[in-house]
Amino acid sequence: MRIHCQNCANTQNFVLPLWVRATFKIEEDGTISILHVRQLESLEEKLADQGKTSFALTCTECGGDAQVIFDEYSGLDQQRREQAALEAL
Amino acid sequence: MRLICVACGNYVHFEVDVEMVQSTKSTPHGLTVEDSFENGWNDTTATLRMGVIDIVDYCIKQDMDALRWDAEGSCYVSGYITCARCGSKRVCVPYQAWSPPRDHVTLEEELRSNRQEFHWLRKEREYADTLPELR
Repeated sequence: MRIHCQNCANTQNFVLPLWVRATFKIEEDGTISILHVRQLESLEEKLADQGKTSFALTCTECGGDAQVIFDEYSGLDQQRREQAALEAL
Repeated sequence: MRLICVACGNYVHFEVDVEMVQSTKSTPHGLTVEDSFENGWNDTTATLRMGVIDIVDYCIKQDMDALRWDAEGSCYVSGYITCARCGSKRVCVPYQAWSPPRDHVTLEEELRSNRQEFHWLRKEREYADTLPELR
């Protein structure tokens, strides 16, 4: 799997917003103290959905949309297959 | 006491859904998800804390506007905050600003009782910008 920014050459750092359910407590003085945080979204689903219905994953450097390539060698395999087919002919 | 659950009386523990920011990094071993840092500032915890505080303050400030009518339960429910004890969404501020106080005074009565004070105020304003005259 490879992730890269569509605007710049960044392939390392990306920002991902995630919905969580926070359980909190209101103290006697009115301040808020967080007790527990539970993740509501699946990270895998968000990555798989990237570029289809949403662009959640963004570049840290430029803020552009990131592109996720799950099988980066599929194109290479196709090229090899085509080359083999031509050689056979 | 800032919020109260009408169903069970809890005024301490609540739940809220917020969006927080996390950082993903590509490594040779795969993808890692960790806290997002910007200029040494932890964005992940900051967005989480500020999200919770913002929603609580919003619900307190908006009062009735933060509630919506639930036709099934025939009651008003909060659109944002849930009680952590009973799971009910009937969470609101412990008092309503629009409820009339017990010793209700009409505006006319209030104006009449404050008439003398108002006259004194107008008099003060009338002579406020003039120097006293020596006679």
